[in-house]
Amino acid sequence: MSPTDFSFEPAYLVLAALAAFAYAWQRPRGGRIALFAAGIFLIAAPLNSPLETIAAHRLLLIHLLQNALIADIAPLLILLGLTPAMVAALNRHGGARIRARYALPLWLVAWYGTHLANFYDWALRTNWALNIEHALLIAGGLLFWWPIVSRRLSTPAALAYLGAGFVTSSFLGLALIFSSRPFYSFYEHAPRLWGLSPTRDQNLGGILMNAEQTIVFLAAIGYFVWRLLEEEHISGADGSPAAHRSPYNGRP
Amino acid sequence: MAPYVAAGLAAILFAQGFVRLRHRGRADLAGWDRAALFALGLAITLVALSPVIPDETLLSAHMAQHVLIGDLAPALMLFALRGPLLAFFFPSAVARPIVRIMNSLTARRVFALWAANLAVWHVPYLYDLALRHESLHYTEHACFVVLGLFAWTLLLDRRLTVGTRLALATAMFAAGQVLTDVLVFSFHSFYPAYNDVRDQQWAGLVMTGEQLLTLGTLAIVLLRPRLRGVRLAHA
Repeated sequence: MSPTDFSFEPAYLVLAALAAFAYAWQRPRGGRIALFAAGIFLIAAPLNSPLETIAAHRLLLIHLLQNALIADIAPLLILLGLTPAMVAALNRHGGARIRARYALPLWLVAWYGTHLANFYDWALRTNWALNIEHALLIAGGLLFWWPIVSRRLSTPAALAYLGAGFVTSSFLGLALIFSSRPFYSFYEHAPRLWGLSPTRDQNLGGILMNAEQTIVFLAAIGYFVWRLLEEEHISGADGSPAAHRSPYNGRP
Repeated sequence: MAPYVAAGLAAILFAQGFVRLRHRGRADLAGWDRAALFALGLAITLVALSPVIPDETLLSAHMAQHVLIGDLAPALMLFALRGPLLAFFFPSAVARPIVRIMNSLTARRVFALWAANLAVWHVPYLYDLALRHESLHYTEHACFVVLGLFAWTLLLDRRLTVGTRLALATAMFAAGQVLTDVLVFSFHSFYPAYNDVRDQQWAGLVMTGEQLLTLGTLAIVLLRPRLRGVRLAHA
């Protein structure tokens, strides 16, 4: 199969279409539509394009790119695209029960569990199981971002949650970067592309994963730090005379 | 020799301030825990600069040296000196200009200086030049120590808001990430003196790990009371 051939995971085309239909039914407005559409696109396109061909038959690097898109970026965009009414409705129908302290470990289980060598190789060899792997990653991503987007976390709690997520999820990427032998036997024997050896392919995959997570998490943390500054500004905490005094003025 | 003289001077200054404050009956502000913290900071600096660290053969060891003297040690020493003890630390003759400098520090200025210093000294040409010229190498280390002291002065300043301190810490971590990502994500060596890519990747990891330890601990300490406050409000 040529790397430029299209491959499909039709289940995700159908799900994307259903999600888009359900979303449009609520008649949303403004920039949220673009966010939701981008999220849906980032799930449907990587899984139904030459990216899928290369990921499922040639390169781990592209598979990890797919996973980063569907697990980290797409779920966040989809949730950011929801209107306040949709978020409230989801909270009424069980969303309110999703606590950060459960969402984080479950997301980590999905993140690390789907990248275990046995599971990964099995998913790639049976092919249909790739759908399960991707479903777990998407569900994990939605679960992780929900407490943030549903605004049920205070700003300090959101910062702690994001910091914990950033640190605890980074070990997979680091392991891939620093590995000197391939973890996944499927890619060890797969036909190569662009002259990448299996180990270099894996190292690059780790780099991509780490870079993507660094950008996404630091952007999110930056947003909440900015929000904390805004809250302090509104409450007057930053304008108090004490805030401008130096600790060195109280010399005996 | 210069680092050991500076460390000795710092120890003397701490000892006289510590004794003076205790003689005034404020042992509560100059406890032995602070003396231990300050000694730990000094010890880390001295160990980092000692031959135990193979900074001439390994970039990762050189990076460890920099983050220890420029981040962890200043954090520990300033944490030990927080409050009135800091005022007693400086002799009266030098206190005024130091206070003036400290008063002029703002989070934006300090971050700009700190990040510029980090970037400039990691330019391969300058990094190699510093390795070949001892005086320049001392200057490099002095810059890391001074900028580390400036940054931690603000990070530990309880009169600044939590948001300002977290913003500074996040900005420092993000700037550090730019450097570490360049080191970790590359497949060729940047510094001619250290021709080992894997060692270079470890150097990046050393910096990330150390920053997570220091800035991460600070973030936890700053956020914890607020998280407790939220829990109490929910209860």
